[in-house]
Amino acid sequence: MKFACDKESLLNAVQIVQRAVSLKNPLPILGGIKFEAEDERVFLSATDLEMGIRCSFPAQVTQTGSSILPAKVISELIRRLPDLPIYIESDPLTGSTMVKYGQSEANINGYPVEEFPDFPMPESEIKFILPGDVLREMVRQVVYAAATDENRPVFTGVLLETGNGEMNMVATDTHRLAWRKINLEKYQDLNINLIIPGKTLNELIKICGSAEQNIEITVTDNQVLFNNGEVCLISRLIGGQFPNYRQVIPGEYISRIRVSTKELAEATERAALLTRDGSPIIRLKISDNTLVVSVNTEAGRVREEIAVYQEGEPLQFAFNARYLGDALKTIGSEDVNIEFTGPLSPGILRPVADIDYLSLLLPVRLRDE
Amino acid sequence: MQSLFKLTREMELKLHALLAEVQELKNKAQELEEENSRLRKDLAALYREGLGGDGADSGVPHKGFFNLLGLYDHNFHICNAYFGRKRSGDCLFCMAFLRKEQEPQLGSGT
Repeated sequence: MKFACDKESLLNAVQIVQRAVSLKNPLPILGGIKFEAEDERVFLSATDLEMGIRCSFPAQVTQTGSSILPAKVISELIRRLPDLPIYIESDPLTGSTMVKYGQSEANINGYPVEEFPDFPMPESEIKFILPGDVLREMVRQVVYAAATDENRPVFTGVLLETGNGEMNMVATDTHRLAWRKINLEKYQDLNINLIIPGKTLNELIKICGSAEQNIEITVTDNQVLFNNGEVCLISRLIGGQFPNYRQVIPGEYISRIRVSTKELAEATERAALLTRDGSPIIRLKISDNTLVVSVNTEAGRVREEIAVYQEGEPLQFAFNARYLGDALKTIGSEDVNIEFTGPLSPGILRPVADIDYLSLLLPVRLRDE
Repeated sequence: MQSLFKLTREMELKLHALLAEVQELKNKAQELEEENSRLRKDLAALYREGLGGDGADSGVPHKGFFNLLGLYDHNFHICNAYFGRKRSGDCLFCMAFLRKEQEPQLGSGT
């Protein structure tokens, strides 16, 4: 393999694929990035066997071929290179790769190419296209609610379901839930139901999502591929049945407030400073068009009053401040509606004038109540 | 050389023994898991029986409901997804289930 390229495109590609590199994996080869040069393009790929990223950029290829280089070394080296044209040449026999820049050069010992796991692109008839910014916003609004506990794999993923010209994304860790719906008018007959690992989606929104780029989503039985033309992200799917999330969304509310998202988020952050470690509970009391946010612990007291528009009965409840803060960050509107249906029901947070997004949050039951 | 051969042979035997032990443990773990899921199913069936039984039409929450509530309060899931497993914090699905169980009675009581 022999090619020349500029530093910026090489560094950009390395930083993108590096997200799939697994440094903790017992297989050392998975700590490597595969470089392939062919047809005036260089392809970089990396995988941790759960997720794989492949990305390409134009380069002057003088000899086709491939090599596997340790991600940590190559990324740090490229980052520190001067802004000069870079020549990369690998020796297929030894696996060592020479990086030339100006009058200097570095030799990096790579891994045997044949040991790198196969990286086939999933192929399927089931495909659809979404604008990058729509997909990114949708993922951002739900993925925060996915669980991180690997003992419950289904909840570490985000459910993506389509049908009747609509697409729903849902995530829950059983304490909170986020749901987003968009219209998918072009794909009336598309009926899919898959659980995508939250970890993959977190990486997806970091590497693609500009408004100009469309993302093609290809679905197979056990994999999903996101392709924006430059970067391909392949992820395994989580097996199992996502529980019926519709049953947990309460119906008619008995009390509702409309409050400034920013004011409530800031008050929540301030109040959370005085909560106990491991129990970030804040109290909220609604009466006479006022919301009182308070915390009273050994560390001190906070009491904040926020003017709200109130409908229904006065209420008093407690929320986990971190969960409330996460939910408010993703609301995406100036004001938020918070609805309550009863003591056993979760609070529903909705952006004002947007019925296609909601976030559920269970109130914390306090011992003295 | 012979002693080295002997040593490696001994090591091989030890590894075989270790492997057999691991296999045994694996079987045991599988047995326990199967038993656990069987017991969980039995428990679920018993609760279902309880729910369908006395008090279902009388308008007062029946014994089954209080049993479930008790189980939930002892930090166990009562939802379909994780019935009988230890829980940490409140669960949306368990709460929805309790709400569903409670609502008909509330409706007929008022």
